[in-house]
Amino acid sequence: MFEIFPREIVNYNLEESRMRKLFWVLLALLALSFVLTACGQPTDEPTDESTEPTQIIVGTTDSWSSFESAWVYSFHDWEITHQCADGLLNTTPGSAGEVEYALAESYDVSADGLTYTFHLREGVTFPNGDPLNADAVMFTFDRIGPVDAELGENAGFLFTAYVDSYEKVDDMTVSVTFADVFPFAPQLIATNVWKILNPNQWSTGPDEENTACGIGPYTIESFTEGEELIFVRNESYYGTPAETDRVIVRYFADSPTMALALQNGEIDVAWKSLSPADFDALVGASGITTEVAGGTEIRYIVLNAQTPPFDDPNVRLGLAQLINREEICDLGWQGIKLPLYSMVPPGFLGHLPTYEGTEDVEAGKALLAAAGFDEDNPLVMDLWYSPTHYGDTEPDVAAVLKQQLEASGVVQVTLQFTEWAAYRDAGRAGELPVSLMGWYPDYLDPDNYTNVFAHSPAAWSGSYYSDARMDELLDAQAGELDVDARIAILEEIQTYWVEQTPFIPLAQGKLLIAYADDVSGVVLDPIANLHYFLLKK
Amino acid sequence: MSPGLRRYIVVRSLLTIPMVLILVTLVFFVLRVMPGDPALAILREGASEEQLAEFRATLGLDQPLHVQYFDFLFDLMRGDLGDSMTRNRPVIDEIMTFFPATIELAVFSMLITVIVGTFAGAFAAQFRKSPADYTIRVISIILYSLPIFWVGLMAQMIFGAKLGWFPVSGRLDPGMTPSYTITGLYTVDALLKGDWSLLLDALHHLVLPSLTLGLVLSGIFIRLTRANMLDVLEQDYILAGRARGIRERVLVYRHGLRNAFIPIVTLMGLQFAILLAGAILTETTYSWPGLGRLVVDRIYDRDFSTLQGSILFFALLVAAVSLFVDILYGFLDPRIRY
Repeated sequence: MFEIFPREIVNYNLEESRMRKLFWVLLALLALSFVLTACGQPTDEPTDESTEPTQIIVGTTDSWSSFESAWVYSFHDWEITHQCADGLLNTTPGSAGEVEYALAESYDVSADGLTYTFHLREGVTFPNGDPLNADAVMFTFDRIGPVDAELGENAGFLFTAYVDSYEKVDDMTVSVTFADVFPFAPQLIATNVWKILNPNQWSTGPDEENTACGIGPYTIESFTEGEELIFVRNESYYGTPAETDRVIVRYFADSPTMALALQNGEIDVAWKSLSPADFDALVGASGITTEVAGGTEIRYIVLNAQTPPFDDPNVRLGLAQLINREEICDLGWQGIKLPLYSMVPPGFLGHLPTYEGTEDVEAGKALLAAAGFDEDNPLVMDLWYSPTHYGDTEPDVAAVLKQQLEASGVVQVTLQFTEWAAYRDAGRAGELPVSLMGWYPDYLDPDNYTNVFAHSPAAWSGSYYSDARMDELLDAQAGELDVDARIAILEEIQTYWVEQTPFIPLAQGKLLIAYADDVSGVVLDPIANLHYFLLKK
Repeated sequence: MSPGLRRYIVVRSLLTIPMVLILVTLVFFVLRVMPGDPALAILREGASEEQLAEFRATLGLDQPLHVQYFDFLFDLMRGDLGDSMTRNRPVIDEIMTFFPATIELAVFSMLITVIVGTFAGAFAAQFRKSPADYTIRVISIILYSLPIFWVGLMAQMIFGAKLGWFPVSGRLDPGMTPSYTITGLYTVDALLKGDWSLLLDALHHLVLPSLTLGLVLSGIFIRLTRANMLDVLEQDYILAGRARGIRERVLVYRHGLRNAFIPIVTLMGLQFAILLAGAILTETTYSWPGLGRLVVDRIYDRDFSTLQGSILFFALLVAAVSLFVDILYGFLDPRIRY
C-alpha cells in the first residue's frame, strides 16, 4: 500500500495520542477556570442579617511566629493573644498604658510594695468549660521561665526579671512578690507573657502551634500560616461580648497589595503596616475611612558617650540644637511620624517636652564652639543608618539630618549605612559613634523609655553612657509608688536629659489604618494592638 | 527500558550529586560570610551578652565554621534539614507548609506558558511574514522583556481594583480554607473531595497570578516554537502532505507542531528554574503564600537554616525536573539512542 508518511512517524504519532488527550484535558481545565470564575463573581444580593453571622476581615503585612505566649516577642503575635487571652489585668483600650481588672477582680499590695495578692473572678471558665482557678495561674507562671529559656530567651524576661516568687494562697487567690518596688508592676502584669492558660490544653514545655489560647473575647477557630487566622466569638466570655461573630486576619506580603485588596472589597480593614504612599492614596478614596494616631514607637539618635568628641555633653546637646524635627518628619519620614521632644512620648505618665524650644542653630554653634568646633575646624562625623530595617524612608531621614547639621557650617557629615544584622553588631560593639535607632516598648510605662536607655552601663544600645546623677534619678523613679512624686522625678529626668543628651529624641511613630466606611469600633491607642473585639459593621 | 537508557538515567542521576554538593557548599558559606550575627537579628533588642552567647551555642553558631559545615552535611545525608532558627520547628515542615501553593501556581503558569507559547508560535510560523506574524513576534519580545512584578501590578489594578473581576491576593477567599488537607493543592483537593465551591474559589484566585507568570514566560516559547515550526514546515513529509491535498491547518497543528514540540519539552525543563524564580516575585505581588514568600521572609529574619533548606529544596526540585525532562526527551523522540 502507498504510504504518505514513513511508518515510524505514524507509530510515533500513535504513541503521542495520549499526550494529545492530556493536552486537551488541561486546556479544557484552564478554559473551565475562566468560565467558572466568571460565574463566581460576588453578588450584591441582600442577605438575611438575622441568620448570617457577622464577619470582619482585617488585613496585615505582619507575619505570625508562634502562639507560645511565654516566648513571642512581636506586636502581631501579641495582638493575636490580645483577642483570645486575658491576663490578671488588661490594658484599657484607648489609654496610654492604663490597666483594668480582667481575670482578677481585685488585688491588694503589701505595705512594702513588693507583694501583689490577686483575687480571681468567680465562675469564669475557659472556652472548653474548664474553670479558672489558682492552679491555672500557677501553671501559667511555672512554665514562663523554662519555656522562654528553651526557645531562646525573648519575652519571658517580662516575668522572670521582675518576679521574685509567687504562690497559691487558696483556690481563687494568688500572690506575686516582685524583686523590687516597681511602680509599673500593673503594666508588666498586663503584658503578653502574663496571659493565663488552661493547664488541660497547654503542655508544660514549648507549645508553639497550640491555638487553645486562654480566656478572651474570641477563640481561634483555624489558622493557615501565611493565609489567614480565624477568630470566632467566645460565647462563654465573662466580659463584654465581642461585637462581631467572626474576625478573619488576612496575611499580605506587602502594603500595595493590601491597599488594593481594601479597595477591591476583599478586606474590611487595612492595618499594620500601610506604607505612607499607600495610605495617602487611600485618603479620600470612596467608601474608605482613614485614621492616624500616635504610636508607641520612638526614633532617636544614639551617641556613643565613650567616643570623643561625643563624650562631651556640650557636643551632644549642640548637635541636638542644630536639628529641626518638624522638617525631618515632613521631608524624611514623609509625614508618617510626629516630632518628639522627649524620650517619653506624649500621653505617658510624666511626659514633659523638654526639647521643645531647644532647636536653635546659634545656641548649638555656641556649644560646639565651646568644645572647639567652628567653621575653620568643623566637627567631622559619620552618621550611620540601616537602609531597610526601619523602612524605605531611612536614607531620606539620614539625608535631611546631614543637610541640617551641615547647614550650620560647623559640622561635616558622612553618611554610612549597613544592613540591619551588621548594624546591630557594630552598634553593640560601640563601633558606631552616631547612629539612627528605633524602639518599641516592652511595657507601657515611662520607665521603658528612660531607664533601659540611660541607666549605666547602657551597652545594648551602643551608647555606653554612664552618669551617677542620671542613675540616681532613674532608680528613684523606678522605686517610687506615689504617682505625684514619681511624675516630679520623671520631669527632672527629662530636664536633666537635655543637659546630658545621651540620646537625641527625634520622632514618634504614627499608627495608620484604613477601613471600609461601614466598619466602626476602631480604637487606636499606644498599645499598637487593634482591638478586634470592638470592631463591628 | 533499554539498557542504554537505564545507564543514562543512572549516570545522569549520579551527576546530580556533585551539583547539589557544590550548591549546598556555596549556600552555606555565602550565608555565613554575610555580615551580621543571626543571634542579634533574632533575639530581642536589649538581650544580654549571656543570652546571646547561649542562643549561639544552642544553634551551634559558636562552633568553628568547618565543624558547622560538616555537621550540616552529616544531617543532610540523613535527610535532616535542621530546625528553623526563628520558628523552632523542622525546616522541612516549614517548606511543606508553603510548597503546595508554589507548585499549584507553577503548574497553572506552565500550562498557560505552553498553551500560549506553542499556539501563538505555530500560528506565526503558519502565516510567516504576515502582519499576524510580525504582531506575534513583537508581542513575544514585549512579554519576554516585561518585569513580572510590573505585569502583576497592572493586572491587579486593572482586573482587580478597577474592573473587580478577580481577587488581587491570596489563594482563597477569607474563611474558605478547607478543614481537610490531602495534597495541599486546593484545586486538586477540591476535585478529589468534589468540593466545587472550593474549586471555583481556588481557580478564581489562580487566574491573575498564573496569567502574570505564564504570559511573561510565554515570550520565549513563542519564539522557539515559531523557529522550530518554520524548520519543520519545510520538511519533505509536510511537502508530501501538501501534495496529497491535506488541509494546511491539519498539517501545521497535527503533524508539524507535534514534531516541533520535542525541543520545546527540553526548554520546559530549563524554564522550570526560571519559573520558580518568577514565582518568588509573583508570590510577593499577589501575597501568594508559597516558598518564595517563605524565602523572602526568612532572609529578613536571618534564619540561616530555613534559607539553606529552602534553597536546597529549590535546587533539588530543579535538578529532578531537569532529569525528568532529559529522560522524557528520550521517550518522546525515538531517534535518540543512549
